Amino acid sequence: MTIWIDNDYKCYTAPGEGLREFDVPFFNNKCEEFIEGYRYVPEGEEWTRKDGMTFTGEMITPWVDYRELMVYQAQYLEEQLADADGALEVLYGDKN
Amino acid sequence: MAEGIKTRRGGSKPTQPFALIQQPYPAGSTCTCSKGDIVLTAPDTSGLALFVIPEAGTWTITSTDGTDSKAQTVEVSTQGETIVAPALVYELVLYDAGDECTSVTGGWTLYAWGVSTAEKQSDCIYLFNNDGQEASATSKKSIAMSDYSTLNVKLKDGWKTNSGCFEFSAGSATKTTSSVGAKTYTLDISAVSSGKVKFRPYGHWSDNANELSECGVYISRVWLN
Repeated sequence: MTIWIDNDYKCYTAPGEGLREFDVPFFNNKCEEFIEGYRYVPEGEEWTRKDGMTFTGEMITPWVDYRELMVYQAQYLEEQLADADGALEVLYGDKN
Repeated sequence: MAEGIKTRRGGSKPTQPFALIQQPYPAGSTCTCSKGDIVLTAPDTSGLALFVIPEAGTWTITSTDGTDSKAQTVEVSTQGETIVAPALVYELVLYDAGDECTSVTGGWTLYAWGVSTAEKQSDCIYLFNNDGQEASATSKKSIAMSDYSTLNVKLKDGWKTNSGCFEFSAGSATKTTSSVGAKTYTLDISAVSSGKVKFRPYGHWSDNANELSECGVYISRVWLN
């Protein structure tokens, strides 16, 4: 999955000014809200938290409460399943 | 909520309250808030203190129970503000030199496939992976992490060849490092509420490079703070 990060290593799902592009398989099949609640620190780089603690990359960690992100991701997967069911009905017809 | 008692060394005259700091800390501990010669002390060990701050500046809040201690600084700049400081918590040990901390972790499940190795040694967990085969150690229980911000992993030794690397995770957060050796690794878990902790060295055979990558780690201590 291609993502973009800003100077604070926060993730985005679309390119923008000052953003850098990376391919991160961890985000495959994840929804936009889920991805944009994450921070990605590439290998060889460092991020310093507000309390002064420094973390080296590669690190993939949420900056939004993960429980909120899971709600978005669950909704996304439900929609994907509903779309898949719809497609199957078109292909094979209603069993009833 | 217990209000802090102010003591000032040197006998200077009292000042008007400038701001308030509300500070959660481990119940049973003593908690102080200080700046220079001003020391405010929570009057009890209830676990929640309200410090009446007399002046702006950087204040250091410390909690201790005689064995563990934790400190943090709080910046006070606006008159009349009430600051709710992040809770002070001591470290939560998940593994320590052979102690699997089962009350918290439920113990550690080790898995090895093929020529990989996963061993519980007397003072560490040893994991070795080559040729892409799995070697891992995972906490049996999901661990509550809301009160902590950092996962710390201490290796008493470790190595890798070629593109081997060491990966570990705490719930939804993950870290991968190709710099493997005797040191302590950290992972930010500020937004992780709970999850299992897992360690997995990674190695593989590359047909393109015609080379074997391996990774071995001796995990001696794991803790949250």
